[in-house]
Amino acid sequence: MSPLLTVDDLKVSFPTRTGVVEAVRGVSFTLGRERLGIVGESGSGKSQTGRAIMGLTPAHARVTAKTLSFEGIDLLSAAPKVRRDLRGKRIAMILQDPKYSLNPVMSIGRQIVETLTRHEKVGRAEARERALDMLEAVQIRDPGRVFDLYPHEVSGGMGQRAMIAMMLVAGPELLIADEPTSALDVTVQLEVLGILDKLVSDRGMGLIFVSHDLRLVSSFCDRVIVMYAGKIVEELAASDLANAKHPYTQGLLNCMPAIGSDRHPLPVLDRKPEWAL
Amino acid sequence: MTTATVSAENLVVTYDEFKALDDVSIDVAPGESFGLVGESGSGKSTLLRAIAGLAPVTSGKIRVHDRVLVGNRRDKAFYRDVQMVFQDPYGSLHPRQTIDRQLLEPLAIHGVADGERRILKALDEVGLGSGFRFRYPHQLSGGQRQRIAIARALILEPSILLLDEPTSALDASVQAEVLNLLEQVRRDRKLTFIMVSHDLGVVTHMCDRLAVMQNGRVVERLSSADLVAGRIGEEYTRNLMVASKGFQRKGVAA
Repeated sequence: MSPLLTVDDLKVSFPTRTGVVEAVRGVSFTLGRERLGIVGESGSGKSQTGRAIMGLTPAHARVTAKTLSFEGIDLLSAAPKVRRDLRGKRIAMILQDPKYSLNPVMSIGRQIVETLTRHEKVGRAEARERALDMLEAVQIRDPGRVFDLYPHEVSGGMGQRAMIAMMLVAGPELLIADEPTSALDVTVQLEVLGILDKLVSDRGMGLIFVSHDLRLVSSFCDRVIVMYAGKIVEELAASDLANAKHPYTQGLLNCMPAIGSDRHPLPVLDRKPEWAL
Repeated sequence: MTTATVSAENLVVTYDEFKALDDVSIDVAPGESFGLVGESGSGKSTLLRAIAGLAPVTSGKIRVHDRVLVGNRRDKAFYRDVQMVFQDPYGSLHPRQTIDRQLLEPLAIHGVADGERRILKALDEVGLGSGFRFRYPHQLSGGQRQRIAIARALILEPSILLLDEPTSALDASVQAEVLNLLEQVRRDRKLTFIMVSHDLGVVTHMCDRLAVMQNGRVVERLSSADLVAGRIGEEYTRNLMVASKGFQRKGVAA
């Protein structure tokens, strides 16, 4: 089976007044129809990796790669039109905070319908029908009512479900979720993750799950990539996390205060300069 | 308990029609670290703000060191004794003032003379050298900013620290450093902490006792040891406990 996505030596850099900032420095991986987690601290380049795949890197940044291809399409040399058609239709992205990522002056229903009509020839009635079905699939109890609500009228958990509905309505093959639950309450997080998990496995999508929470990622994904300073320091199966070799991965795992483990003070990461080489 | 350092009795806070706090009572003993847990909108931050005089108290009593506080009037002596650290270090520091200015401000307000010495000591205490003194907030990372916010709270040498989600805007690895710092200063200065968090792991790590809040009410009070041992009375607390353990595929009945 050929992979859905091939990333080879991806680099993203930003020219600034004080010199070039290299956010991603040679990341390589392949993705099939599986769940891949990308973990790291802020500034490790995990989000920029996701954005480069999606084609959302700011115009002044430089993106280079030996290969960056999605189902045989070379993303870097593809025409803007091709990329626009991919975005939303075949590759979709869920962002962190529904408060900022939904359009505040457009009802939730219209935003979902917009995704659909942009990519498919559908009538208004059919588009509405499919949007309602999708809202139901993300377990919104009263889809008819939520369809006409504006983003400020719903809770964070509801907003994030609407976001998932919007991203999945066109049936993408690859979903990039950038910290999809970090802005949500702990209790709501699990519900949203449960919904996401079910939809991803039912539809056989590929998923890239970007997060700083190693434990959450490992419980959700099949495979985990750990990033530090723009590079991959370790790649391992989620089930294998206990045997992580790199001190950075071990540090990330250990530094979380857990219920029932009495460790004072908490172990902290001792960042070694050679990790960033 | 009459020995409580901070106590709230039947506290009610209303915003227009909405009851943010509904008949809430807590007692915090001297030198204790007390946790408030709950989801957003449960009123945990409102309780903290009510103590600091930042929320409209409709009825009920707040007592700090046996002084009854009326409404949301607080005098200077109160703020010298009670300081607060806010959630978002990106929002709680003045973007156009140097760290030096921000640390000087509380000292100027309270007419403290030895500013120079105190600023250097505060910076040293939070693990940032004097090299950070004349920087601006945008030149610091999130963890460093939160250290500055803690330094600003400590510079008046208060005995009570109100902490509103002090680490939830930080990375897990930086969170550990800030939590360690908070524990260190509590030990060194024998401070009383009231700490709000939505993360049960953080609260059980930091606090001896905690109150679980939901919809503006305290639904359960328990000690961290009880929580760890699973001696939980309320269903809601149990849900929070499950949620903090991470995602489990089998557990999702959807």
